Amino acid sequence: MDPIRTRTAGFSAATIAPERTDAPEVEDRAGHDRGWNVVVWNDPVNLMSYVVLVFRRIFGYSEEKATRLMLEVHHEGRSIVSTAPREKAEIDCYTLHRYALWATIERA
Amino acid sequence: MPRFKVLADRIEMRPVGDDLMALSLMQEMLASLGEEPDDPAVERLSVAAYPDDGDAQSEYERLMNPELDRQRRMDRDAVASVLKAAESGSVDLTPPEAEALLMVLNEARLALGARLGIVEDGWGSDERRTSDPVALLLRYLTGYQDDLIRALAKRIEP
Repeated sequence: MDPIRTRTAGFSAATIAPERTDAPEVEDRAGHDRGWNVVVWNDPVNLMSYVVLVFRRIFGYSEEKATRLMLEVHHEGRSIVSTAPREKAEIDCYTLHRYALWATIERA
Repeated sequence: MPRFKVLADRIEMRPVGDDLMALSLMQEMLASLGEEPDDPAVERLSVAAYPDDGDAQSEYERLMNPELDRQRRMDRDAVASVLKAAESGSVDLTPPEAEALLMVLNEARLALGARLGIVEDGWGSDERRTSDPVALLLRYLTGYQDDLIRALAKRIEP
């Protein structure tokens, strides 16, 4: 088995388009904004090891957590990798884009 | 001989085989992005943060895209300097240089994958892609990036 091939994350960028997020204005029962999710989508070209490394770099996650999120991306097509106020979420998304990961922002 | 050796505060990059040729082709390919109309590689490297909200996306692009373009140019310039130095042999990469190389490699691989129309897993074993020069470059850069990732991962392990 090709060790690189086995680390190749996969999904169809063309067939798994980001879902619409028609969430209403979201505040919890206490009236607090629940923030914004940063979502990473699967891609067939990115190496799994690369995605793990990037999650560790950007968010300071442990290897275990970074690997769990990467596998969620790989198997489920997407994973929420952070939730934060909008400005922070946009910075996270920008940083993921710098690493050329497929990242989007949606209401939490 | 491994391509990369982890040092105390550097990563030694040792060009082997066709590394420099492949990396030079990578740089040429990235420099050509945008020259051809409807290049899928350009679209792949321009991910929308708000795919379903045009107003939010426009504002995000206004704020972020100039900086993203500037950073990517700086990364490619850094890699160009490294490659020039590597013509004489091994090069000690600073952490920012190694990170720039990592990111540029990924941009290049995604661009090549987009041009090849790769949309699903298993592309690495697709025999139809074995003779395509674009596919060959993608394979080469994949192996190269994998080696770099292994080296970089050692630096952040406790």
